[in-house]
Amino acid sequence: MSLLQLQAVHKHFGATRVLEDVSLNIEAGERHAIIGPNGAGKSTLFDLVSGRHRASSGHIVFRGRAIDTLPPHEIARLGLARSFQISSLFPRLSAFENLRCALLRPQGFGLSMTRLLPRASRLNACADALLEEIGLAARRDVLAGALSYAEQRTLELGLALASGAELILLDEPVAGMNRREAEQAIALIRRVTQGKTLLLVEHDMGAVFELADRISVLAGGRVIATGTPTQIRANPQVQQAYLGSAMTEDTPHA
Amino acid sequence: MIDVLIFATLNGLVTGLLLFLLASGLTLIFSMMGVLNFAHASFYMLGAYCAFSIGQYTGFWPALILAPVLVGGFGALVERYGLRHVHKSGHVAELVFTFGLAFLIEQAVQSFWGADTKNYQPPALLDFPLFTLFGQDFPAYKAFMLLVSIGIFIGLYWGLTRTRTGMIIQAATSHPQTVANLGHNLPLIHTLVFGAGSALAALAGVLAGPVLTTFPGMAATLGSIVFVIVVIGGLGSLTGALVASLLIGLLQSWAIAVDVGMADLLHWVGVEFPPDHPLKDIWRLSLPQLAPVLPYLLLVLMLIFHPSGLFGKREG
Amino acid sequence: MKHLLPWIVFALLLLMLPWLFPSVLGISILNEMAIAIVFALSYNMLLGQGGMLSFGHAVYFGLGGFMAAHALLGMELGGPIFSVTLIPLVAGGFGLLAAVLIGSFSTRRAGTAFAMISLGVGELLAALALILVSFFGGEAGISGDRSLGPAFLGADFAQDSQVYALAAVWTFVSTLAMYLFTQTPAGRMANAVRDNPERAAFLGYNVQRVRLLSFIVSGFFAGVAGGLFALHYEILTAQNLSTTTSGNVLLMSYIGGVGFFTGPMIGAVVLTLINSVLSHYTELWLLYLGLSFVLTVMFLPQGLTGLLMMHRTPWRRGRLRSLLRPYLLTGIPATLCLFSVFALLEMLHQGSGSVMFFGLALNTEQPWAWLGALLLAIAAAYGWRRSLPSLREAWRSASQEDAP
Repeated sequence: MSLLQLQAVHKHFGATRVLEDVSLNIEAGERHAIIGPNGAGKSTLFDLVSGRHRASSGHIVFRGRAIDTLPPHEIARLGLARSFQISSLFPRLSAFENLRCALLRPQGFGLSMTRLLPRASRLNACADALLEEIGLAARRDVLAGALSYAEQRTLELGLALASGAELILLDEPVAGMNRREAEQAIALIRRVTQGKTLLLVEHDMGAVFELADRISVLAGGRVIATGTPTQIRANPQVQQAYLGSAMTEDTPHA
Repeated sequence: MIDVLIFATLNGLVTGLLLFLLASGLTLIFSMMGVLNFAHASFYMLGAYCAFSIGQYTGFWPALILAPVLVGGFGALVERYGLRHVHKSGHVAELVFTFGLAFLIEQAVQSFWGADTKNYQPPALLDFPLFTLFGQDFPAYKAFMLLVSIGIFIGLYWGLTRTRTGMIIQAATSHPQTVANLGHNLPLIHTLVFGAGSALAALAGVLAGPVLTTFPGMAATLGSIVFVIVVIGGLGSLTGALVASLLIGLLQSWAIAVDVGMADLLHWVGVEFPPDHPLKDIWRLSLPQLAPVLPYLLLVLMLIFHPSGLFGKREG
Repeated sequence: MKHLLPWIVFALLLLMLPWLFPSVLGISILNEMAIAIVFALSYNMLLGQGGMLSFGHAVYFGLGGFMAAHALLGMELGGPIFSVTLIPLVAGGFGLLAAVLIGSFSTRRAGTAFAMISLGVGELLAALALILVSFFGGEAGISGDRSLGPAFLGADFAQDSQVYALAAVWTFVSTLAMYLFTQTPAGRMANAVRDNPERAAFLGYNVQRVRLLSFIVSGFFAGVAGGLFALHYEILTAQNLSTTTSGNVLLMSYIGGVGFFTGPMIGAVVLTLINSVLSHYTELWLLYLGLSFVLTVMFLPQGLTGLLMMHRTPWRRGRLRSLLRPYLLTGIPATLCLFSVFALLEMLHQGSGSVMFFGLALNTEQPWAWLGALLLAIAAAYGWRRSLPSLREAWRSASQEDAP
């Protein structure tokens, strides 16, 4: 059975229909990208899967369990982590503390009142290692709110990856990065999602074709095609939806 | 019994509409700036004191106009040089600022007007019983309060829905960025609305001063209740503020009028209780005693069961 | 060892202060400080650490205190006799219980909604306190005798100095416990939820649970402070759980600085001093307090502690001395300006007759007294304003990073 299934999911805000009859299967271990023009409903899809919003109708099944009525924290506990398109960090905590917070639950600290963080050497080592891995070791003690835009994007990515969740949702992880930063981020995502399942929304086609095993195209609130990158490239419907623009464009928009 | 109820209803209406004068300004300010102004009732108190002092030189009628104008100007200054400065530190800081302001104004009133109750009387022109029912007088001044409050309500409604300025203000509460992009001076609108809200509160103070007594604690007694009203009515909803004001005004007035106790109720269903029972305080509770507690009880229940309030659209 | 140093200093201070101020008044003020420190620290668990602005924290302080007063009264009336050293624990337990009950619904949301619920609950309790006479004692309150318990290490706690010893121990232990709480996962997640509740939820945390936990622990320590209050004053009245008391603790924490663990402690010490010293000199002290509070919110959002901490960088770079001159240049006109404004306020307050101001007899009947104060105020304000740019410049160069 698929790790994540969307079954005939609809979402409308008032009279605006954002998603219509979306069905998707995400298999365990695959890297799945969702692409589509602006306003196609990609971020809304993420919001439904992660519990930020509720679907108007339809079902979302994760690991064989319906999650469409669960609050975000319970979905997260089932092994789902996400990043945000607009960085969503803990601005008054340092970069290190941000990652440590993300590591607390996976490392079994939960909401303990009896264990002291400075003494948790394995936890701290993990946070430092992750900091090193995402290349922010030099900014360890800087408040997240004071980091540069690119650093905040990286930390955002770090928060999603820290959880060790089985399914990781990344919402435009390389948006606003320059080529070099984007390449580093892609390499990082590749490394860290080894053996995990990745669901990705991205405008940068370079990143999409580098990362994704399969691609779904969302246009006007509907999935118009799903397939391997080669299939998608060749799909005339997709080309029409994009009017040929983004598909041929290999450089990212900064 | 019927006479008691009629008078309680009339008094409740007077109080309710007075509360609405305060709640409407508070609601407007909240929906525009997202900050609940703790000092709102302090402007109400300043209105009463200013009217009292001005009235000693000019009499009641000029003071009725001058005091709100004065306090409104002060409110505008507070917004321009205080609140706007704190705005960048976030909503909590703004709330704390208005709390500090309320504290400061109370101390200032106590320091410069004194801690005693002021002998602030209704104007001689209105100092007569309007009608007598079942041997009880209904003062003309209270009728005047009612009239002014209703007039303000109609004026406010008209002003917000029919005039250009009102339209801009309404637009500024829902789409501030668009309004700013259209070339309207958003900060100026904020200052004006804050000033106008303060002036409304002051007007309420001028009206209430002679009836509810003018003393340094008058802001604190009413302030929390006005907060309760805007939360019960639904933060940001003018209709909600009106309904909640009347509800609280009437509820309190009736509770005071109807002297029913828990013991009476228990007696009525046939339960007697020993006078030295450990829970005797609860057996002895009576409605008039509970009157000051009712608004807060309502608030807590509302926030538990229906947090967005009666007419609320957005969550706090 | 390095992180133990502040605690050793704190313990030594608590030990030495009664030797430095052995008078009855001195000890009494020290007791008040100890109570205020615990209360303010518990408050800041909500405001500073958890981002929950409460206008009703006195509820837990007061309920704890009333429970303690009842326990003391009980010893008089044939109830259980136990050592009064445990009174703060009883009070804390009751504060905790109240926090569990109230927190279960009030912590659902933060921000304005939380503030409103806390205000509503605070007013509700304050109003109920006047109705439920058997528990709250009505106008007279509940009073007990603290010296009826069995002696502890030879102390019967009849004297204030013995109560101080008890309060000092409880203050030290509570402060340490509250500090350690900030170092636990629960304490850190409280910070995270303060900063970004949604993100914390996506990390798998039930945001309400995180807030509730802080709220309960905070309620416990507020209760402990209430218990110490009951021991010191031996009486609790409805005033102690009123919104005025809640406002005071907000004032203390904010003036001290809610962004730092030590902030509320500094605020508690400063405000207790102002309460007991300044009130001897002027009737307008509450006005000055309100004024300094509003100015703090406006210009020193990080409070007194923030002001101190600002000097860390210049100090580390050895540039503190370069600030001395600009500080004097700003400080002198600023002091003069405040001095004359206070003189004006005092005269205004006096109305008629003369008022003693720093040994100066100001006659309110004489126009020159008003005029002089007014002119001085304006001139000093002008000088103050003029000196600000150079202070800013000096500050900038003193705290700037050295060029690599």
